[in-house]
Amino acid sequence: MFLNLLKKELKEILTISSIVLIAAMSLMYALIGQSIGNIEEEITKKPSIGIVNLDSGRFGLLVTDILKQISTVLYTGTNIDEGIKAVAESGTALLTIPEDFTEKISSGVQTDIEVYWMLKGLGIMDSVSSGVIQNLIYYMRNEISKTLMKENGFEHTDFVLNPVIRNDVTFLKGKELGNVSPNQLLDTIFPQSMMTSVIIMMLIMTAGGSVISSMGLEKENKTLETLLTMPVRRSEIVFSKILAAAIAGLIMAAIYMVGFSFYMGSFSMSSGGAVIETIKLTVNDYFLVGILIFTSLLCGISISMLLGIFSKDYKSAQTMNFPLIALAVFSMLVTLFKDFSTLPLALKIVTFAIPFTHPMLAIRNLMVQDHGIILWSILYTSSFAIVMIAVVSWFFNSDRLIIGRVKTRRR
Amino acid sequence: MAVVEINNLKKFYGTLEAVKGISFVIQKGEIFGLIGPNGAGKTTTLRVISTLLKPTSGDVKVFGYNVVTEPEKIRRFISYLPEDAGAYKNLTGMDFLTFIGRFFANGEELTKMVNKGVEIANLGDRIRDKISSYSKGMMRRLLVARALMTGPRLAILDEPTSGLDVLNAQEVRKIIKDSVKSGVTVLLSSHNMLEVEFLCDKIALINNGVIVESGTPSELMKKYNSQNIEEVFTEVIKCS
Repeated sequence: MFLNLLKKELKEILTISSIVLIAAMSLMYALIGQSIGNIEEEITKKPSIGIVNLDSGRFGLLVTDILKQISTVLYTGTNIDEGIKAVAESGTALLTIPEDFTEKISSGVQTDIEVYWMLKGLGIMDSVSSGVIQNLIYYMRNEISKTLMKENGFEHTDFVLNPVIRNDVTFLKGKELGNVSPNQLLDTIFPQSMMTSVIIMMLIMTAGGSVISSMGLEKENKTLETLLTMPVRRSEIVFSKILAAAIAGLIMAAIYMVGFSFYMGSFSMSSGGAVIETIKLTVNDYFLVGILIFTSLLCGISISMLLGIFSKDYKSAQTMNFPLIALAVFSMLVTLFKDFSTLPLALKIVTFAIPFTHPMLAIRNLMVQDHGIILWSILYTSSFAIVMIAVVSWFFNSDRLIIGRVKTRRR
Repeated sequence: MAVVEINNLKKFYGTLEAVKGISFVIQKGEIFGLIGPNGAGKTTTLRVISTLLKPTSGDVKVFGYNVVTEPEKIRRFISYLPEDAGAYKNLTGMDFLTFIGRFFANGEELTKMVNKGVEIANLGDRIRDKISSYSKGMMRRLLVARALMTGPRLAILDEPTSGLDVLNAQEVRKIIKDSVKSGVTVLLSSHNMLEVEFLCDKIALINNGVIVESGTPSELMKKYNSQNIEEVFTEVIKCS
């Protein structure tokens, strides 16, 4: 009988139109990801520039040679207007070496290089290339310094330019992470944490929305009374709805995440090998994250079902999911900007009480080997889900589901 | 043993007393009609008997099982058709009957049950169409078929011909009458007095949560010196 109910629920939730809709969203993300390209590729790609060299001296020639080696030169000449025209279409910048470049450097006077930026837009990816040009100028400046030092009798130019090497050791929650800077750590953790948060959001939107809609449809189609008089335990009806929503949610989230991973891939950067080794997650860790996502999903679905009980019809059910999404957004924003341990006590309590917070924090906690908090999180979310399912089952056994809200009886 | 035994049933919705201590008994093989004006407490009574609502007080037994303590046992023997019932619109009529049938049988027995449902519904090839494309009459026939195909020992039908045209209503009445021959006991509510007179072996008139009169249609017509149940109904309601 349970399978009969489950099959009916899945048939109701996993319709062709709902799958096509989520697949279309996934495809859209994938296309956006493909069209904006990869940030790492952008950074490692040779920049396309134009060079206007008005200086015929040795430093002017040196700079031109260096730039030619490390970039794709679209224009070399002495006319700024022509240079701008040449790089306007596909170049990043036009570098102009002034007439007195060599003369000033040789006489110990600081000189300048004019950079005409060809900014294509104000998006994140549009500004990546300007960072590459800045690195180019930094490299060029070092080469001039080395030449000057050699002329003044310095042998170990690399040493003089960089006499101190930074060695990072980061302490996080008492754990020592060697050869890792906080920035490297965040670059590694952020995409994974972000991904977990997005998965949770998607699961709640799809699975929670499905179960609320299912309740709304039962009421709108007037099928609930028939279902409740079938020879099946009410708890089986409740559990079939929850399980069907969980299965449908996982399928839809998986389809969605394929596209979203392409999108996120555009912004991901490979961190140093040392960083990954230090905080690498094991198969067991991912298993724990999986359990935590599932228990949180059960919490979300059972809350949705409870909200669905109060819906009048399909239309009113649609708006019932908003408070749940708001809770998930709250958890995501709080954990995105602050670590749980550094939150004020009141905010800590509120954030902890929201079951969706736990999987969002799981990746970070596992990266610092904090397995204890993960087990507590699993215990909390499981208990929360059990209590919520019991409450929903109680409502299914009460008159409330049939007659709606009534005024309390005066005695 | 009586099929349904109700003793001093009361049901409150918050402060509103919908049913005010009613009592009646339904015997096996009877078609028992519960009739009364809108808001009299008919649907509430039917919902209590079909284990959807719990009584505030009083004793309600179906086949000797208490509706409060043994609802799951009762659900094995009953079939309830609500007045404004619907069906899953994403399913075909056939799928819907199969879905319901699976709660009661499987294998060959299920096939027989569904075939019986198809026969009762009498929708022809439309039984394989999506329910969303059905007219109100087709939907009601499907629901009556759903309620009777499982061979319930007690069929609780709330306004079984509600919204049907004359021909469809007549067909449904015939189906109900025939089902009794196969051992089904029927409890129905109706506004249609002709229907009640035609179908019911016994009737109870309920008004404002109280049973104001009960008996066989002929007994009541004799008692009130009336030509039909409609006149009895008008007289009783006027006096109560």
